[in-house]
Amino acid sequence: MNANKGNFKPIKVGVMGLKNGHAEGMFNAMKGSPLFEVVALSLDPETRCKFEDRYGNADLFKKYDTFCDDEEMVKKHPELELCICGGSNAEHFRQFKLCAERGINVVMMKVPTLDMAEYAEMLRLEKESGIKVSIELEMRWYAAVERVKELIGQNVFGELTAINAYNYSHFPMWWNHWMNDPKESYGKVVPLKPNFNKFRGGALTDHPHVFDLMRYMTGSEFDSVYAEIAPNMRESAAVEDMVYVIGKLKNGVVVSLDPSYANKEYEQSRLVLKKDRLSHYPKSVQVEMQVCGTKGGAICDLYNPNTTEQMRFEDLEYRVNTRFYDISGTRKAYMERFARAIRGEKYTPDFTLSDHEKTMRVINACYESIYTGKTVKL
Amino acid sequence: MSVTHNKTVEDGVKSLLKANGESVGVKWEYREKKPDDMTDSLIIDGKAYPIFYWRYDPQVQAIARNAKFNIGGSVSAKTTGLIKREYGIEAYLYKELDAAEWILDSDIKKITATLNKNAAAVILKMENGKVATLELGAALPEGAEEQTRHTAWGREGMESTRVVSTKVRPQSVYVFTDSKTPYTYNDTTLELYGLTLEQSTIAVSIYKMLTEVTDYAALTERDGQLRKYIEIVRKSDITGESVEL
Repeated sequence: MNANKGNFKPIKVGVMGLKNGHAEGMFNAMKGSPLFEVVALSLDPETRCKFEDRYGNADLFKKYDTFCDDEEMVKKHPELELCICGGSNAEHFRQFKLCAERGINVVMMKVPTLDMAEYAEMLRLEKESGIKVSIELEMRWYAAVERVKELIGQNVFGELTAINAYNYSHFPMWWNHWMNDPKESYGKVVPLKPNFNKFRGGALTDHPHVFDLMRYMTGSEFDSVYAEIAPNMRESAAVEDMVYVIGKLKNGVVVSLDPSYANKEYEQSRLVLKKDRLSHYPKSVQVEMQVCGTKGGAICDLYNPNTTEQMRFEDLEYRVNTRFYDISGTRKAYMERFARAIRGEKYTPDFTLSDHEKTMRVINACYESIYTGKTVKL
Repeated sequence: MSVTHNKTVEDGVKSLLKANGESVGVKWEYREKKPDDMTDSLIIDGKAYPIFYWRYDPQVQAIARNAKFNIGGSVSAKTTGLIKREYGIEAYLYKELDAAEWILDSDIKKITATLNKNAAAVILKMENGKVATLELGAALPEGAEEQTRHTAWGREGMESTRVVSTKVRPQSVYVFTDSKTPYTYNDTTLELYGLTLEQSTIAVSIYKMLTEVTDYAALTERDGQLRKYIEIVRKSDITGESVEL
């Protein structure tokens, strides 16, 4: 659905960081929408240089008022109505606070914070300030998720007994260095196990979608989890890259979830968009699910079944690419829905900051299980 | 829908023996798995031995071989699948517990499991520090082909029984005539022409057991060990705790 601006007064937006890959997607979506006016960005010099290099355009940010400091940006632009909190996970709380204190609505990344004291303070600030908060959880936008949820609800599989899901991707640690820095990704340096040289903040932190989907698709909450890490596939990663979780939901359904960085990537510090070379495994992102019930089962591609295979470049690199319809784009539609909500249109969020806290608790329970070697009850 | 030709596993074994000019000096009989059995059996001179037919599946063999030798040292493996309801979840576990140790080339050190009727989720920590996950469901209707995916990851690669982006095991021939769903055939080799893929794998297993040096006592011993693993899986599920072996 393409937005028709009509009398809509564009939302004035500030972008706080582009460290999170999805913040870049949102920035691009807003640039192409009449419902937004991107006024300012705040970028650390390294990120700014990276993006100018990636797009091959030294003037990429020239038309925006650009800052090196989030606070300076919001002070200089009191007209801002919305900020994208797109810094590292460790920066989200500070960014959120800056916005809430000024009544600026926010879009949060999928991991608002894994520090539950910070999360509680975010909830307090949200309530106190009255700002609107949206969390960018892209797996909630996919049609196959709705289809399988509907089939489960119709008892097509009989009594639901188990769901397994994986969310595989490459590990962007080579070009997004903060993702391999436990302090920046998890928020603090915590060893995965006692006297261990790898730390929290890897695949389990970065892929909350499968945990969220279990709650969303079954309507049940986690009862217990047990998690185990395999030896890292990438020896130079400081955080976990292969991690496995089993558990039970309160309704008795057994789950097995795999948020691993299972798809190997090129070890490159410089991404150049026109080269578009990311992963050795021919697909960069996969989200698939298996459903088991007493009367049947299903094997599902939740991300997108439309794919092509491809050989390209001088080394005949093999790719299997996800192909999307050339329509407005789900990210843009998501952003525009939120823009209308900010202008007062009736809006029922699919999930709230408060609801998402439960998913963050499950992820921390998995880390606790890895540390103790025991099942953790939620 | 898969087309069958009323051929049997025994037909396949006889065809393989004939094609290779071999004969066996024992009386043998194939006994198909019954609901309470863990796997099919080969009866030799009146004594039953378990058939670990999955060890003869060329795709699973490739995972085990390359996990050990060609992906830079494996770090983990995963088995995800659905099988016929009548096969039973414990028999499915029996098969995949065996395959997991084979693929990661290690004994199991610790089992953590959750069960729910016809489904199981299990994490295996191996003696060599690697991790295997089993995600199994006995949920398919009678006649449906087993859909099990085995994958191993290593520091220099990975291997999977599903090609990227495919969800089910491909067939050899898809025929579109009078039905909205195609008729399918999965013939793989001329000696086994007309057998289903499942029958073909079992026929090859029996042929190999009969014609190669086979330690039958070890098969019986392994059967006992796998049954003990299943008891431990049950114990872990009931207690909610991991069980160290």
